[in-house]
Amino acid sequence: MVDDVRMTLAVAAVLRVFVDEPLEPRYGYDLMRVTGYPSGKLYPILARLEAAGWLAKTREDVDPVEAGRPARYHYRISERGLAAARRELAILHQQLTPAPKRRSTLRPEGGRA
Amino acid sequence: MNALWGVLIGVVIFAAGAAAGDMVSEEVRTRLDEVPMTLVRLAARRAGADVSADLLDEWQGELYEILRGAEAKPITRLWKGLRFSVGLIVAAPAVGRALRRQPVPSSGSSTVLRARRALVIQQGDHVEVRFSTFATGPRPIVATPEDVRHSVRRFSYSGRPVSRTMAWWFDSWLTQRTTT
Repeated sequence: MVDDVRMTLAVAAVLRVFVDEPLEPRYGYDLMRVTGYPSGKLYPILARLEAAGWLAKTREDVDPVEAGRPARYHYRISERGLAAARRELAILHQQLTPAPKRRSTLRPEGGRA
Repeated sequence: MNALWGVLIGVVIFAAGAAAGDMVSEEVRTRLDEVPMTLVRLAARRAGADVSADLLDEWQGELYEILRGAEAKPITRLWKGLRFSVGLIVAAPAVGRALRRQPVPSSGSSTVLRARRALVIQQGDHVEVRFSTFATGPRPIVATPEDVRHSVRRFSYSGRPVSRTMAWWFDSWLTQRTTT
């Protein structure tokens, strides 16, 4: 199992969708609509997360003949993936949050502003 | 009587023409839907023989939803289908590699922070680096201000703090050793 997930903003955006609603199964097309990412960008991310064990892919349990349509695959975030995603998103948030402004060392004479 | 025959023949010709038009339209629509489906099959093959069957099964289901969502709009259906399938053709090798659990190519050990693009803000001896793209290894990254400062100095043109505020995009690979 590959533990190394390259954390980019695109990966974070996909993970955000799963973290917001961890129990909600997500389809590829739904994720494309929610994130705005095209298939060529989304599916490699899903594959990496799946290979890392962060996402689990399941085939819909329908008979294509009866349903009149092909079965779809949905993705769910795993417990391990949820914990890792929350940690990585927190790190990313920390990285992107502007640092507090430093007070200038220059003071008017007398030390009052 | 002749006029009646004329009207009758006209109605028949009109009905036959409308039916033929519908058939041609349906034929064209079906053919157009086959184009993205063929491209999706090609994309699945590009992902590799060991994963192509599952991917084809998944992508065909998604393509069906995309085409159904744009029902009765042939051009929109074609456009959306092409966007989906062409994107997959491009990305399929990467999807295949990831599913075969090949590790992401890396130039260093797993305990480094790798930034491809960062905004560096320097004010006096205070240096702040904001990463826009980064990768982490399995360990949490703990980069101290001193680590970052040292790393940025390595890439600055003078290596000395400057007296005025500077900001620039650091657009190369920044490798930062972290705690092991």
